[in-house]
Amino acid sequence: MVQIVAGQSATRQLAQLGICAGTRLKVRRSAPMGGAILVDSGGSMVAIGRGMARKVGVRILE
Amino acid sequence: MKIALVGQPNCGKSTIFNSVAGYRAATGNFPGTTVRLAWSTVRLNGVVAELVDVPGIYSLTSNNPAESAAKKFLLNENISLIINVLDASLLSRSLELTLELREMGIPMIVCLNMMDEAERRGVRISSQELSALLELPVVETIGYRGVGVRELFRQGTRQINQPLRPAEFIRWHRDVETSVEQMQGVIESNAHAHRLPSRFLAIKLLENDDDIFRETGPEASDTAVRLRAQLETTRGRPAESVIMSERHDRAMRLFEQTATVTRPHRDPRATLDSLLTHPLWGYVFLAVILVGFFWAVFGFGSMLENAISGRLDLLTTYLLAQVPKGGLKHALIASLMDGVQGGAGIVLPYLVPFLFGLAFLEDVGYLPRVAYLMDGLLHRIGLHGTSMLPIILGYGCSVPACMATRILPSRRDRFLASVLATLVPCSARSTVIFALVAFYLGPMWALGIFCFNALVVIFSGWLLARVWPEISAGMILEVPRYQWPTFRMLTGKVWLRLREFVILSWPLLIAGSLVLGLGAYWNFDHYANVALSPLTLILGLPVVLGTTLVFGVLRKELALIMLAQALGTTSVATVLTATQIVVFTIFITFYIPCLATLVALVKEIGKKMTALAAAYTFVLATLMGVAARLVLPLILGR
Repeated sequence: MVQIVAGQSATRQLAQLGICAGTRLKVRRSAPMGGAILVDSGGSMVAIGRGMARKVGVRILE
Repeated sequence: MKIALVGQPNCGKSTIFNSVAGYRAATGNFPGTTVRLAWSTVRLNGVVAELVDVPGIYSLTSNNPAESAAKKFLLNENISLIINVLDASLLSRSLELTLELREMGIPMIVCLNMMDEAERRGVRISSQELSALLELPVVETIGYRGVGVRELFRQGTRQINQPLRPAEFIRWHRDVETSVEQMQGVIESNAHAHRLPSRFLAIKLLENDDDIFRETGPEASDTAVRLRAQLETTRGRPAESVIMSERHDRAMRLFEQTATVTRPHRDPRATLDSLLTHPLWGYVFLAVILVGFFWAVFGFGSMLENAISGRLDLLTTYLLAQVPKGGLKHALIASLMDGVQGGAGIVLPYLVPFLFGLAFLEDVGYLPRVAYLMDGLLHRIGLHGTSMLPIILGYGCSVPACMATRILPSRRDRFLASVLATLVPCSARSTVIFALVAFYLGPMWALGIFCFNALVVIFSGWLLARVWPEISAGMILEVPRYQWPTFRMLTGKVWLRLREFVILSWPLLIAGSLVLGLGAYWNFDHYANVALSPLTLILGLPVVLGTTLVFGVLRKELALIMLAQALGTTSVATVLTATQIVVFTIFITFYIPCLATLVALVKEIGKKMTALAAAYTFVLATLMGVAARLVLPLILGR
């Protein structure tokens, strides 16, 4: 995870769930037809809407 | 004296609360089950205290109404002890809240809950070391099995009135620390006496917390603005984000110092989850689970209904044979037994399996998965996945569903979700669908009504989203692990919900039945029916059903019982055509929410919006009823 380009409250909400700059994320699932994605961050799973997920900048590690 | 259970969402606070207070607070395996404070007076080791179950918060900065209620409580009430509940398997993240609470200076104990889960995940925690580092007592528990709970309260009550040493160990990078100290200086120089430690207030001010600004006065606000700007230029990002990462780092360090992570045990739940969230199979399973749920409820329900109704019929016939026919006594006994039978013979048989099924789905943790699966579709109608939670809860009862909208950050989303949740057939309306449509026309018809309802809900969502357009802020929802609920938890939950029917609705039902029976005896109901005849006429229903619809506003299941009463027979099919049964059911399903729901709606979205919602549902119900009346004869051929 590199950075989040989103509003204050969304950034905060993600950080509260342990998703902030420097976190390793693993995309577990992505729902079809522009649906949400399911992300594993440090053992907890978070569902993120597609629009929101677009605002999360990542560098692909593997 | 107040003892508060505080922790992040879904860490098991309510389970611990219930194990001390009896099953009082609804629990469920999804974040945000508790949306309001639950209180209970308890006696703990000779101390009488108010135990308070506080809605889950990730931090003391709130995102939605449920969280701000929790925060307000923590900041303003005089709390004697905080029991900070942590999900041990998510230790590092949970500690961030602990660090924040620790600075409030309120006596505190840490409860490492879900220790079994942590072990399964390969996380070993040394609670002694954690306790030494936090300078707080730490107790390990497994809440749902009651392990360690007694010890938690034994050690907790000992902390009450013990002064808490300031958290000297929470020190941050020098530039942040300097800002905090300067801020602290300004707060302390103010004449105000503050209940909370100045360091805590200083940090919250740097985090731009509005609630604190109101307390500390203009001079502190000016300094805060200056210091925040300063931090922002040196660190290159907003001050609150700087402080959040300081806390994050500190929690991380604590985690590394006290926990070792080994290989996790192989978890069959991961396999299950990859199936249930699969881009194709996930939806297939969703359909299978819902239809299976439906068949199971109907199967059990009709079995029970046949068994119970038959016996009660015999009893009624026996009782009626004792009094002369046509007299007042006869009418009284007949309507009394109608009410009794309606509750025991028609409502309970479907309600009990329904509530069990729903409780199971909630506790297992399937609902957030549904939210994930449905997010794409909901986006199209202008909502997002999180709104799915209250809507699904609506299948149980509209009242908690409306309250559950408090987990949504935006006011508009709360309005949409609560209106949609009231359109979904709650367990009372499902009972009507099962006992009328499924019982007389066959289960496929009932399934059809549920599907039709779902379509109307989707359409309404689309329509309302157009009326109140706003770009929906996207879903961010934690998806918890699956949890196998214990039988005691399920029965506790079912009873919590059933109790309402047994002690509130059923007596009302019997009373309503008596009123209607006597009204019919003295021919009073005639006037009400005439007044409502325009409605019954356009719906193509017998005029005698007018009063029934009124009773339906009180409690939806009343309409069903009153139906039998008004028609003078419990075998509805002999007097109503198939079309009439379906029209009646559709109308009951959609029209004005019941009284309790209206009250809940007023509280959540205000009087004006509630009136709007009621008018909308009424118009919708009438339109759908008329449409069904016109279309169905073509399908049924009569």
